This record gives sequence, structure tokens and C-alpha cells, in this order.
Amino acid sequence: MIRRKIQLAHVDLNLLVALQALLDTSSVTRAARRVGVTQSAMSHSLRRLRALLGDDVLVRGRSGMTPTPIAEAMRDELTAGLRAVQATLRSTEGFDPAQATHHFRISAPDYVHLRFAPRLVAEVGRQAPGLSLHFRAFEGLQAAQALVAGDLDVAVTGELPDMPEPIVRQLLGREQVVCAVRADHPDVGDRLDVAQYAALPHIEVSPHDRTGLVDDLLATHGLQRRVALRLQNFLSSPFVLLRTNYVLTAPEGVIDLYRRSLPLRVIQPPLELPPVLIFMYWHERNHDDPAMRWLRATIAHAFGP
Amino acid sequence: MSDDDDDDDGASDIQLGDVDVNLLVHLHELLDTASVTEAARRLGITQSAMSHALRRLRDLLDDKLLVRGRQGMMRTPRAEALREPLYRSLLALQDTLTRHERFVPERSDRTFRLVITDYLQLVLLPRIVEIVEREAPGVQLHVESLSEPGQFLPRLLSGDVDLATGGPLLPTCREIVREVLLEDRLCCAVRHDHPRVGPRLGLDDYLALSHVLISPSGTGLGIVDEKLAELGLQRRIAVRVQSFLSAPFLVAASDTVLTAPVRIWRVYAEPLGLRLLEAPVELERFELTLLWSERERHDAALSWLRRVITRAAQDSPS
Repeated sequence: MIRRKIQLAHVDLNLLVALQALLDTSSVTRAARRVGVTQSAMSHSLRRLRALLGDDVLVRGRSGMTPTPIAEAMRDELTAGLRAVQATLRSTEGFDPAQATHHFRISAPDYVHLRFAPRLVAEVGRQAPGLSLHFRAFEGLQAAQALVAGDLDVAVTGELPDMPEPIVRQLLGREQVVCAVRADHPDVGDRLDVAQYAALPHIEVSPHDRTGLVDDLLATHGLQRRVALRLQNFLSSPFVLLRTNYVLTAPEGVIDLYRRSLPLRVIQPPLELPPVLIFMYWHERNHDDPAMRWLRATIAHAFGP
Repeated sequence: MSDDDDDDDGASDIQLGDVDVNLLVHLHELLDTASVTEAARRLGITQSAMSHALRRLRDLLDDKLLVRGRQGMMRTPRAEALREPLYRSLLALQDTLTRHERFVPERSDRTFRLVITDYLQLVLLPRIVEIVEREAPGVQLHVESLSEPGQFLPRLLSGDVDLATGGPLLPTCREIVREVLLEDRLCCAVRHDHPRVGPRLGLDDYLALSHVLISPSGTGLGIVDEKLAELGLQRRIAVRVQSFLSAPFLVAASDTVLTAPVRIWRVYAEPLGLRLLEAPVELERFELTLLWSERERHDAALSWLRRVITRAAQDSPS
């Protein structure tokens, strides 16, 4: 589906409401009454409509005013369009979290899941105790396919290239990448230079067993690190840090979560590691669904600082 | 290669003394995968290092080895002919080495590949790594999470995975040795200031709470649900997650309850301020096991690692 650019900024959309009333009533007086404005305000609207459309809109006929052929042709479309706008506005009202028993399916990779799931579950427990949440960890395009197939309501993840057209996204935040060691690490203080960093034994968390950006950047300094432990998820990594002199390089949100309860030290990495952008993706068909709107707003809130 | 006569292909004037024999390991992976990327991944080196190795191999053997085909790279006839004999000679070399090699932990730079359940990654891995760091500081551990029980058995048999751990529901076969590492049972945890949970958890209280369920497959229910169903009861699953990763944090942040193994709670209860309670339903104890291929029983390095894991299990508070 191709999304066309909306170019409505130069139009006063309230004029369309006036136009509908004028076409329905064929009378400035009755239209004014219906919209709840003065007659002179409605006359003014009619003049502006005439300028906008380049048409008389209403002309004096034998028995009062009648719509011009152009205005008459606009009538049905205008009515349908205004009704859709109204329905859209109303749809935000139609979800009562306190009463809802919806079942939401959310996919997020490890590091993103840890960043927002605890706050989301807490918020849902407070606002919507009858809801249930089902967290999955679809990877990349699998998530897109699940959104299209309707097996998933929302995917919260890093940037996915080449999303199929009917997927909508919203930027939730930027995750800085930081380093963590145990708070009483014998060799590491509040700062790390690149040589010191490379000399430490590393934990690498990567789902696909590949050498990543850190290694490439170290290579530009002519350095190489030793990955002492390679894991596929963050699960045990903070507890390994507590018992070893290893260093972990990971998105800030993950480390923050653990730092609140474990004696870890967080340090700026001595490499230019770009932040990870986190997006929320959903299918266009759910865009205006009131329950989905509520879910997305609550996720965005849980993701916030 | 020259000790394999059945595929003599004119390369016999290559003297092994002039060759970086390590290149043959690269060659083996290149021929096996027909992909520079995949071969690099298998050996844990960068793609450019593998491309470099391929160039040197091409010079050495005076053959393209891999050429671009319609779907990715294709083996040349020469490469195809080399593949099986190379594999067999490397395997023979490896067996010779492992049978006679002494394993000196403090001098080893070996990489061990382990498949470990999430549960044991939490309960044992920190202690395993602590021991490894002290006794064998040059050793590398590659830990994979167990996605489907039994899926790793062929890889254990082929030597692609050195050791694996499993839960109670594991399929097995005769070539696999299993050893019980530890036993555990389930109990419940809630946040310490939970407004509606007293010092004991009755069945009615339990059923009135919202539950977190860890369901690795993402579908289906847990052991607790089966037990409740036998009693004609049902609990409300408010949150379903695929791993232990966030579950304790969810419990700490909300009024949910999670029924999970006691040893998991030994890891999280104190730092997250969680309160442990006996589950109000009868739940059986279960065993966690260590598995390895019977063929590797002579490998001194693996014996050492097995002892490390067993020690870590003994140190784990029950």
C-alpha cells in the first residue's frame, strides 16, 4: 500500500463542516444554526469556501438557494470523510483498561524486553488487572511476518530494514552502549582506555555467534580482545560479572536494570559505539483500534525515562 | 592429505613442512560449507581472515576451490575430490592428539562449546566460569541456550558440541552418557511487600493471584497448570514469557506470582527483594543432567571440564 503525502496544512478543515451543513440545509441561516455559529460567521465561511473551491457552492434559485453541480458532487464523499474522521476520534474513547480482558502479544529481543517489560507489567497490573500479556522473541523479519499474519500485536525492536508496506513504526528511544564490570573489580576504576579494555576478558552476548562491531573497532586501533565467554542471551551475564574480572559491553537499559540490585560498575566504553535505535512496529490495520492504541501508549510510557 | 592415496590429484609434491597446516582446517570448513561467511562463523574468525585463507589455499593448491555459482559458491571438481579425504585425515589427526595429549588447564587456550539450559546458566554458569577463570584463564566457553530438547544430540555425537545439559524430559540414546548434576523443586515467589499475600500461600490465595508463566516454546501451559487441571482448577496467566530472563523482574515490579525452581530463587530473591513461599499444590522434584558423547571419554580436556561443572553443582545452594 502506498502512503500518499497528506497536504492539508493550508486548509481550515472546519470549513468542511460548514460546507456539509450548507449542502444539507441549502440555507446560510439554517446551516449556522446547525453548526452553532452566527449567520455572519457562516456567510464568511461560505465566502472562504467559494475562494477555496473556485466555485459558487450555493446559488440563488427559484425557491431559495441550491447547490451547484460541483458542490452536489462533493456531498457524499464529504459526508463519508467527515464520518470517518469522527469515528477515528471516537475510537480513542472505546477502551476501558479497568474492564478489559484483552490478550496482547508483544515481541521483543532480549535486551529490549528487559528494558520495558517490568514497567509494562507493573503498569498493566495497576491500570488493567484483567489483561494478559504474551511476550515472544521473534527475530527480524519473522516479527514482520507475524505482524502481517496477525499473530502479533506489537514488535519492539531495533531498526528493521525493508519492512513490508502496511507496517507502521514509532521511534521509542536510543539505547547507549555501555560497559559493566563488578563494583570491586581489582583493575578497573571509573574509566577505561582502549588498551585496558582490550586487555580484559570479555563476555560477548550475541544470538548468532558472530564477531561484531566491537571487534571491528578494536581492529582499527590494532587491538584484539579475548572473548572468554560467549552467550546467546543476557540471563547469566551479570552474575558471571560478579564472580569474575570480565567486562560486558551491552545496551544501557539492560545494565541499568541489573545495576539497581547488583553491585556492578558502569563505565563509558572507550570506543565510538553508536546508540541502538529502538522502534515499535505494528500493522496498519490496528492503527486506530482503541485497545491497540492504549497498548502502544502504555509501552511507549514504559519505555520512557 | 598425502597419507590418503585413493584421491591422488597431483598435489603430492606439496611438502607439509612448507605448508601452514592450520590452513587445512580452514580448507575443511570452506569445503564443508561452500561459504566464506559460514566457514568464518564456524571457526569464529572474521570474514576477511577467511577470505585471506582462501586466497592462500588457492595459491597453494593452484585451484580456485570455490567458484561463484548460480546459488552462492560452488566447489570445483578438485575441491569436491579433496573434501572427504581431508575430513578423514583431519579427524585421524585429532583422535591421535586427544588420545595422547595431556590437558594442562592453566596453559590451555581451548574453546569449549556447551549447550546449557537457561536454568543451569543461571544456577551454575557463574560458578563454572569463576573456576575456569582461576584454573584455566586462557580457555574460552561458547554457551548456547537450549532451544528444543534433544535438538543438540546429533551435534553432541558429531563433536560440534562438547557438553550439554538437560532437564527431565530429555530424549537420549546409547552413545550419550548422562550424569545427574542436581535436583530441584518448584516454589513460589512474590515481591516482599505484596499487599495481598501473607506468610503462607493457601490454594485459594494462589488461584486468586495473577501468574507469570515461563513457556520456552511460547505456547502451552506448565506443570503447575496440569496439576491444577487434575483438581479441576485453573489459574489466571497474566504474563507469558519465553525465558527466565525478565521473569523475576516482572514479579518484583508487580503483584504477580511466579512458580519456579528453588535454585533460581536463590539467585534472585535477595537482590530483587522477593519473598519465597511453598506452592499450595504438590509438585514433584526433578533432576538436571550433564550429557556427553561416549566417544569423547578419553578427551582429558572434557574430563576436566566435566569435573569443573560437577564441582559447581556441588557448590550450588539447594
